[in-house]
Amino acid sequence: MHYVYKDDTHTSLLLEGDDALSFNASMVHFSKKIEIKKCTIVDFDVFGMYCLGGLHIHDCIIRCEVSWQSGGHNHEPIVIENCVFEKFVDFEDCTFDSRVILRNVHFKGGTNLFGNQSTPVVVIFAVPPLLDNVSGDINLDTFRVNMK
Amino acid sequence: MRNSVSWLQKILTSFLTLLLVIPPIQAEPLFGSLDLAGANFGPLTHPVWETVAQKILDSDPLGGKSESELKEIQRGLFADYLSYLNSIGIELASYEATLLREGEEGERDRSCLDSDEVRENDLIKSSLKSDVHTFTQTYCSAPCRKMKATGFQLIATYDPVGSVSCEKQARQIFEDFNCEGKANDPSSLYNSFEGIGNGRNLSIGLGNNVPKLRIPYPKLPSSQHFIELGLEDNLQNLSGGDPFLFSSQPNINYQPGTFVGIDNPEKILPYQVPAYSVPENSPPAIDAEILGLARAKKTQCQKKTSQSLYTTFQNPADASPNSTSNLSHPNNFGPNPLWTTYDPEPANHSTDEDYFITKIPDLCGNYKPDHFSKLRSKYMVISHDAILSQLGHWPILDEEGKVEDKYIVEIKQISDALFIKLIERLENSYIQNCSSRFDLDKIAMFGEGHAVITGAKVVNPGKEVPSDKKVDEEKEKKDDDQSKGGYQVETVAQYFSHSAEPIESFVDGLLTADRLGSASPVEHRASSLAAEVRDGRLKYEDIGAAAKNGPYGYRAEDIEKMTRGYLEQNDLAGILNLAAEIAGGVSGGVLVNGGVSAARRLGGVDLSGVNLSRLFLSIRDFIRKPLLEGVETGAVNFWDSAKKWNVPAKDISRVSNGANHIFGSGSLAKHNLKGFLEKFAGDSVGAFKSLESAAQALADSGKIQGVFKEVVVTVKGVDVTIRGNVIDGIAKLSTAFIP
Repeated sequence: MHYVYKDDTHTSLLLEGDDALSFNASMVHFSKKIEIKKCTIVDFDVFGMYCLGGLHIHDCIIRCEVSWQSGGHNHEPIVIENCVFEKFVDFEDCTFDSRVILRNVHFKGGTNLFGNQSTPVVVIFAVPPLLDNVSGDINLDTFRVNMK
Repeated sequence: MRNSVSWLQKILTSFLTLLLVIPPIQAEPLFGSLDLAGANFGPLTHPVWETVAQKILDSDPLGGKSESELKEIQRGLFADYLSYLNSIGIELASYEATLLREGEEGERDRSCLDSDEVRENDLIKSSLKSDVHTFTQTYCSAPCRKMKATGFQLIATYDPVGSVSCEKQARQIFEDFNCEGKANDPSSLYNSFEGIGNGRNLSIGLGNNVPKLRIPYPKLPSSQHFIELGLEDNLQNLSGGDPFLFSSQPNINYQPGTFVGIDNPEKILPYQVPAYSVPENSPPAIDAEILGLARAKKTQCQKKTSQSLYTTFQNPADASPNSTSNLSHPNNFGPNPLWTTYDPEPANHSTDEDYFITKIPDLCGNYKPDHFSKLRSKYMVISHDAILSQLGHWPILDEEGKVEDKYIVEIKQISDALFIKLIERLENSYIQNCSSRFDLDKIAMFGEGHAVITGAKVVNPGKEVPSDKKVDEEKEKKDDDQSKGGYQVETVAQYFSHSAEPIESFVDGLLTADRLGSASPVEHRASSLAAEVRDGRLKYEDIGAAAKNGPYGYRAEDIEKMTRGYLEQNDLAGILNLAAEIAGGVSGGVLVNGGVSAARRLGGVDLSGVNLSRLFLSIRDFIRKPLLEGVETGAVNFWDSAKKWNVPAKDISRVSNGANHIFGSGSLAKHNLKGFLEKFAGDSVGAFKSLESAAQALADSGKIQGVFKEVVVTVKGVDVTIRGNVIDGIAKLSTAFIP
């Protein structure tokens, strides 16, 4: 299924059991909780997406590259568990205002979640994140590469 | 802010001046010669904070006698006075709880009922927001807590260090909870969780929710498995240094997780690991709760510290000379990762009714005949002691080092009006609600025809011995009353502690402080107003007026004025109604229309909405925190700016959030845009819209489309890198920075 959001939404969202999920919500500010579970995600356009009401992704395989830049701003926790990101996940300049929990997550293509230190796009965690059984390279520095 | 510093300096100067003329040996017995119980110095024309403020101003050698400065000093002193009143109330309630415990009979002498603990725990929680003296007194003298703590310590033999005195533990808890002043001290980042529980005892603070502390086998791929900072020593102690039971955590670059505090930890691990769990005999429940509150508060302080460090590292030029930490970035948390593993959950309330309807236990049988006279006597002692502990920094000592009589009278006039009236009210409540039962229970004890004196009043002439039938009827009535929640007997605690939750959200909103997130209260307030406009609850043209109000429609200043007015007029009923209105009018964070009627609707002798402690402390904090004015004016400025830059109503939320993301207090330094923002005189909306307009121009000319990154635009002579997305021809800015 292909979901496209262009305006801010104020209702909670549950996407479940889709084996070819395409989710486009670039620059959308979700005020309610988003939950995605038991899905295979083939397109995840979340550039600049805010999850004010929190986000829960679990039991999913994300086959595409993910660019979640300059987003976050969660007032509720963001929980990602039992997920495999097959390609690179870009968190540049994200700000997480509440808890982030990653549990049983494999970043096969790596991520810059904890990279880009001392750059203008380092991820801000207002609350120290909790990670359990997280694998893959999560310290990638991408900012300098991009700027060259 | 400068004004606050100014009046504080003036008070300090006056205080130091007095200390210079007082021989130290005379400073202690300040009240020795004064018998206040019968003192009568005639009516006062001004409340004490006004007369003392005038004295401070008059004694200022530098002059500065402006009306505004006088008002500012008065406000500061009034905040102190609220602390004074609150301190008396908490201690008096604590004392009363002890009296009621002593009045219990039979088996109850050896056990604490749930209702006893609830009453007691509320008091302890209230005192946590008071001062260290009041908290220590309340925490350590609470009879139920004391009894359970004693039992627990006898059993808890696994503590490798040994017990810590209650006073020391209480002080540590208080300091952790009130850590705001230390939030900017980076060193506190390394001192986390020391002192209470974690440094010496694995279970204290976790109560019945004690997690199993799991330790990885040495050869696991242990970069994924971690333990809480501060527990290593404990674990080493417990394992006796056995390398198979304990292995040190590898030095890592980031801080992946913990097993503690996560649901179903067994699910996480494919390995069977040895686990330590603490004994089932847990400490008093309030210990867990109170430590949880203290830790949560300390975590917030550490978060602020982390943010201040972040700023330091992003701007080496701004770093203080003492910033020699070996941290490379706060997200790394250095070689000793900090873990927050226990976030107390807010109390669960199944229905709104639970917020308001508190089952008042049957206390009638616990009152001894001299209960109220003891309460009055104790009030006299507490109110005297509290002058020094709460107001000792005021310039109210005479040349012999004693508090001047006139100030004692002025100070006590208002507190007497509040507390003596309150005790009288309690006594009337007792007479009204317990007299019939009192007849039955006490006549046998004191005999027929004896008058029983309670406080200063004859409440039971005791002329009639009831017949058996009447006794049965009364017992039925008693059972019926108890099934409905017991006799409605009022206690000091019910005015100073219980039902804290409804008002907490109001107070937090009032002060707009301690919110999660990096945005400042101003930015949060602006965002919440944006949401109201977006949802149609607020008209765009009414934004300015709404911004001047607190989140629930109140102005904190108005509540301050009302509190002050009622106290000045010795109006107990007024102050109780105001407390009820604030607490009872807020349900789930939303103001119920007509707060007073909402509270009164609950019927009869309703105390659930009254919480004088919260009222006093919230106004005190409001006065002392210079935040609210910034919130209100900042919000107004935000909306003025939104109008100025023609931000359409439907776009306000996005622009507000976006401006906060780029120029908010938590990210401005990171984005290196401080100088750029200054070119807009701090107008973040203007700066955001200018950058977005530049992006729009590029989109209109076809130079950017879709997601754009690393695009440099020049605005007001500054080259800024912008990112965003062009959607349906509209350029939306996601971020901006100067590399």
